[in-house]
Amino acid sequence: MTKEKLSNYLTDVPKPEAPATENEKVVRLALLSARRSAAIGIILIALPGTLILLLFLQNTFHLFPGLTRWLAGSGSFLPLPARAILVFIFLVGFPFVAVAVNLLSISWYRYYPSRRELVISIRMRWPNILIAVIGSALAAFYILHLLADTLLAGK
Amino acid sequence: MPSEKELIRLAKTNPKVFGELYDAHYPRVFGYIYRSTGDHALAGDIAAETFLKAFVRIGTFRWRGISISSWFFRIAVNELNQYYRKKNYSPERLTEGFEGANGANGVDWPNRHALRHESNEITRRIDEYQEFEHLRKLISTLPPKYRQVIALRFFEEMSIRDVGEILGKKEGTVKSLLSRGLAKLKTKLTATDHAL
Repeated sequence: MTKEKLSNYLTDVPKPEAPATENEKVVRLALLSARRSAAIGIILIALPGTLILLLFLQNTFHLFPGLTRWLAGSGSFLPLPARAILVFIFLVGFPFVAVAVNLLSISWYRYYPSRRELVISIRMRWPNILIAVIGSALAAFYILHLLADTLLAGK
Repeated sequence: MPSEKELIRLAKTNPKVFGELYDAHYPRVFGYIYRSTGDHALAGDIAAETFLKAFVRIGTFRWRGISISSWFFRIAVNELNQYYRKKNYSPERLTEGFEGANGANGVDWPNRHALRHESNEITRRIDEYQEFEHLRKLISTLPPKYRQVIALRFFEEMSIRDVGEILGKKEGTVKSLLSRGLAKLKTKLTATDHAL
């Protein structure tokens, strides 16, 4: 048997086809259902971010003098604990959700029980990473502000 | 119709475009993995891992004249090498957690029964390709460099140039590997008294 004959034999031997329709659909959906969540993230950080920015401008440059009054007035029908919870959700919860959604959309987790290894893959997609960083900064800002308020109130 | 170069550029920022590339190349890559392993379920897992890696790394793809198809095949070749190297190779099961979750998030996931049925059907059909299966098993005992060139050249019917592009080797090197690989395969075939 010559190499040429073997080559022809390898070329001509009937080969199994593998229609992977179901498998193809599953993998496609699993990959692409990790939809980019930047748009949701932007909304979730833009709302509390704008409020914090306005309050910062008011405090620093004495702009928008009616803002604090309007905020206090618009929620006055609610009891104080409910208002505090709503503000906390708005200023910490929203950015936290933005961080979680954006990090989950670019991360994949695999656990290999046989090797006892957890492998985390992160796709370097800068819009999502930027939103996660800004969201973390916003949430941290308000939490630190609360902490500072609480600690200074005791003095 | 955008060029492949343009599609790759768009796929880096738009997952939907990656989906188009996926649709165009998955069947061939899956077929290659399936014909290399002879195991439909395992081929599904390795193909999933291949495209997950491609999806995560598409941002690093640089256009240097190498086609995206060759790039997908190159990842698949590496995954197959891992499979042959490690007995405990465990590619990510992208289907876990989704199977049977039809309707969740408005998405109809193909159910486990349909997947198993398809896998069983294909396993049954491979019995009709005993000659190929015999060859596949012999080729799988060859060193990786020979196994890869023979599988790509003869089972996937690729040109020497495409094989070289996938494996990152010059055409002359591929020809030489093919020649030596065929010689080794011939010896193995003779030893098993396979009628030719």
